[in-house]
Amino acid sequence: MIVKVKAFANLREVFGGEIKIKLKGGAILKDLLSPVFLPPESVEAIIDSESGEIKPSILILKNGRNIRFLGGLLAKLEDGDEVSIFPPLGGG
Amino acid sequence: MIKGGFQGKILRVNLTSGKIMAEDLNEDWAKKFVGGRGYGTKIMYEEVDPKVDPLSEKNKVIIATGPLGGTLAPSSGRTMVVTKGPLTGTIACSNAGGYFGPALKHAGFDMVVIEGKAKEPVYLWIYKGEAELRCAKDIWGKTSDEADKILRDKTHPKAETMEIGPAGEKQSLVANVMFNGHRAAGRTGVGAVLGSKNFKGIAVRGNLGVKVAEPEKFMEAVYKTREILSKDAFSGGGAAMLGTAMLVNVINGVGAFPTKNAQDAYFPEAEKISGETLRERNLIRNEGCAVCPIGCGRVTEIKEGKYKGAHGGGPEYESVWALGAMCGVSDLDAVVMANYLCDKYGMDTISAGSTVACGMELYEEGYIPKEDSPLPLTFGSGEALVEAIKLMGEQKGKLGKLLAQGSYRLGEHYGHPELSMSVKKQEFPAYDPRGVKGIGLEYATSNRGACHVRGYTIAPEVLTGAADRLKYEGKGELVKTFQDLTSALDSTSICLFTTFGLGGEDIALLLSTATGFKVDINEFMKIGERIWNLERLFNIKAGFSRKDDNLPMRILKEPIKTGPSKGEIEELDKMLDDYYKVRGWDKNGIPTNEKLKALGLLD
Repeated sequence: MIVKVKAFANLREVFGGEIKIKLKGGAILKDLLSPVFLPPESVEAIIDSESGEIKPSILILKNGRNIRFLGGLLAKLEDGDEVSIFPPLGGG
Repeated sequence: MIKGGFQGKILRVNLTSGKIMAEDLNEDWAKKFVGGRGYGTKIMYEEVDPKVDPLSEKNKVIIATGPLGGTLAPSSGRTMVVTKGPLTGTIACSNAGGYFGPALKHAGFDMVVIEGKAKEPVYLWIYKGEAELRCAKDIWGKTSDEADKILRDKTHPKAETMEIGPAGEKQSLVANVMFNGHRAAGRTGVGAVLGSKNFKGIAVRGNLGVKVAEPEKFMEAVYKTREILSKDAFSGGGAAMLGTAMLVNVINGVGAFPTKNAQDAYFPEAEKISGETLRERNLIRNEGCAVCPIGCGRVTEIKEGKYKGAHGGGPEYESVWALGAMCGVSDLDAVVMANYLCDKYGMDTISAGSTVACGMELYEEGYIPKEDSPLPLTFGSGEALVEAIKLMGEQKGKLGKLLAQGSYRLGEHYGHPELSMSVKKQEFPAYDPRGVKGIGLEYATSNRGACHVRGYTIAPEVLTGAADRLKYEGKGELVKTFQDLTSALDSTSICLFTTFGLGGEDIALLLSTATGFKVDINEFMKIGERIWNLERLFNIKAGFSRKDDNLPMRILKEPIKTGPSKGEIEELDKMLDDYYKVRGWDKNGIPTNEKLKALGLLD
């Protein structure tokens, strides 16, 4: 299956923009956010190296829903999913 | 006696008599309401009949700073404009960044109360504790950026200025009050109130310091809060890089980006008007306000095409949305140009953009007859957007005059007020309540009509994910907490954006060490709640009630058509009773005597 990864703001430079990644069926978010599929500096930017969890300040959406409400790193991925990654945000 | 923070003086300017007086600050009021929004609202509550016509001589305007303005507290440059708003008929408090507030403090005053009406256009010059009214006949008619320059030419090259543009002079209900020609106290039509008084603006300059009660402890708090803000990824870097328009992609990304007058909440072309694109295409540099380590402001120019050479401040996220997605426009240069024009005329970009969007829907549906519109007012046309803003700013022709009254009155004139995306006749900002439930409750209950910065639940509901944006449970408490926090914060002079890094306890520490008042986080939140309830009391006396705590029918009935929040509507009823309950109000939204006594608002 193919999952699209989009990074925004300063993470865009780290990720190199929008990328499409081919994964095996049944993959979860943790599989995707690993050095197997992403450049190591991209993984470092969003995953806490000690805890292995997503950094609290990083916002990740799967098809517009915050992955916190979809199981976090255990969120299941499906063909055509769009994963959006944002650095700390503010404004208004 | 107040030990610090405040200068202890209020300047009262009666435009009818021409009399100017310096009054002592009321210490009891300062303890209960702090300064800025809180103290200004207290003056309005005590001195102005809530039923007064906002554009009559009897309305007053309070230009107010708080006790942290003019000190070294981070991001303490905000200035509040408190009055009864003519767009909404509610109590109004709009605020702007920049350097004006600190300059007013340095000239020796905490606030200026403007009352009455001048026979001919005037401006006020405040210099080192003295003030005088001067003739503004030759500045009347000038755009805000021109007026800013002329005011400095006439007074002092380093004066800070506040001014209205032609929209305020002509009493447009979307008129704002500008500072230095490009910072805006945008909402509720505050500029029209000054226009109705023949008051063009203020120039101010001073060199007095602001004493603080406990200098060592205050500076410790300053260093601590500065460090937090500098290390935070948003306030310490992200905000300077992309400005507030960084939100375009995320709010569109969750499907809560109102598009084409909120006929949808997902704009496929959002990337073209995003903070990232603005940075690449138009940004010259970022800019900060007084003592601000964040520096989110944009200084931009249009580098090519038909608007080439135009330059100015912004646009902010809200402006990019209102003039962009809300009108279906993805031509960023047209959006930036429309933003510059709004600043020059002195118009609120949110209300102006949303009013053009309402006009576009009315036109496309055939409700605005072709003979009324000098141009095809169609969604997606950057040219139509820019021309409509000009019509509105100059109040040219029938349509220009109607656009200048805001979307509700425009829609009402053509028989379709339901196409106005407003609450209490003020246009809502850049977050669709169908996709972010709590912000809808905030729009419905905001004391100045639809507004996001009375209680910015977007932070927990979208940016941090601390609350689920699609759930209704617990939103009453969430909205109340954010509304109370912001009410207190707006009374200090500190910018709301500090709260992305700082907690209420940090602000309370700055406040208590500056003033000598004993303010911990609990007292800080209680001050906020007291201000919120006082604003509510003003509005109740003005005739507002539960029926006005509502949302546009489209938001309640029409599901979002596309994008990540497809199918969602907003069920306000699921939250409103709960909100009144956590506020300690009755079912009609009236504060109970018990609540008012607890807040010291009833003897």
